[in-house]
Amino acid sequence: MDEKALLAQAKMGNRDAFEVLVRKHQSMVFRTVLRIVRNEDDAMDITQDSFVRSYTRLHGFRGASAFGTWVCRIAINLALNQMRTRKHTVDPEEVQLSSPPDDILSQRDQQYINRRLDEAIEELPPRQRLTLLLRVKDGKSHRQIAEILDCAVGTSKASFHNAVLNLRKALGDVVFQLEEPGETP
Amino acid sequence: MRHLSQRELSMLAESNELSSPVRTHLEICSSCSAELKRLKTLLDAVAAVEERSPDASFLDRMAENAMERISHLAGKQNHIRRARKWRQGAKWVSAAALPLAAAMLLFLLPWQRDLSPHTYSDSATSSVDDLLSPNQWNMVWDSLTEDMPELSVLRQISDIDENPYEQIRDLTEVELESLFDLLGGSDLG
Repeated sequence: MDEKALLAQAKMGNRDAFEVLVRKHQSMVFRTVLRIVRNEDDAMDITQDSFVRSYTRLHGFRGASAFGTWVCRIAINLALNQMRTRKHTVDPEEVQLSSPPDDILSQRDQQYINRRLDEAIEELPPRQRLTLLLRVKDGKSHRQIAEILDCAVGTSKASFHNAVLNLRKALGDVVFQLEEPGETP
Repeated sequence: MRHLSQRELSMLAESNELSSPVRTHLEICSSCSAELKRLKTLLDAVAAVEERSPDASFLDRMAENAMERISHLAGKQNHIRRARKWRQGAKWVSAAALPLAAAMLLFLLPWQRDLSPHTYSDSATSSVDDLLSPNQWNMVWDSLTEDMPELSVLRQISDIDENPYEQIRDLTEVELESLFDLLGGSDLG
């Protein structure tokens, strides 16, 4: 059964049809949410919440976008709301700030470089991080990203470039090691 | 020579499309060229970052949890839907009740019809039927004779007492007015 038919069935209350839609899209939604919240348990809860919400609002879904995109949008809003709440409740003592080791050999270590890159990505604002990863890892166009994030194409482009510049600033000299790992800057 | 801004370099790193002026500039500007290369490498490194992909059992568990929550929700939704229908029905009934009550008061209650002023006719040949019902006439007559005993004489003379309504019914309006004058302008309204 194609997605349109599944949606029509689900709107009439066929839960089996809705389950097929859940299984089809949950992986993509989960990965998207994980990119924002960076915690698997939270990402799982938010993914489930998104599908439950989409079920209750199914009668209002007109099909202007793909079902997966629509659920993603719900999931992103839930995830961003959680990040906003978390920002106000994070205990500063729990935040572990990484600092580059003094040992020059360790600085050349690929693992260290990768860890620094992960941290720099994690330190990006959630929208910038998501835009960067959707563009670079998933190969999505700015038009597709704008549809997912429910924003203008220009906003997606601005978000992406700000993410790149922030990464560049955060990585500093490590960027040179990305270029040719093992060589001193 | 103007260097390319970080934003311009970022856009170039993303698109890989170089116009001929930009290409020319990069050929002669080593710092812009080097920075562009670093940004491209940075983006390649981001693309290569490993991300956790959920395995099949994880996805099964997630889907089952979501569907279980939806099945509980469906039961609640029916209650909410029924309660909403009841509330809507109650709103309609209360909205209709007031005009219904007003219509009953204006049009359906007999005592309103009988005493409403518009039943009085201006025609000289109007009959007493238009004024009061037979029972009401008897009540009025009894009350009048109680207040004005001289009327009882009139009753005896005209034998009104036996069937006062029928006697008064045939009076014309002029005769009625005379009778009212006799009674001292009693107000039958």
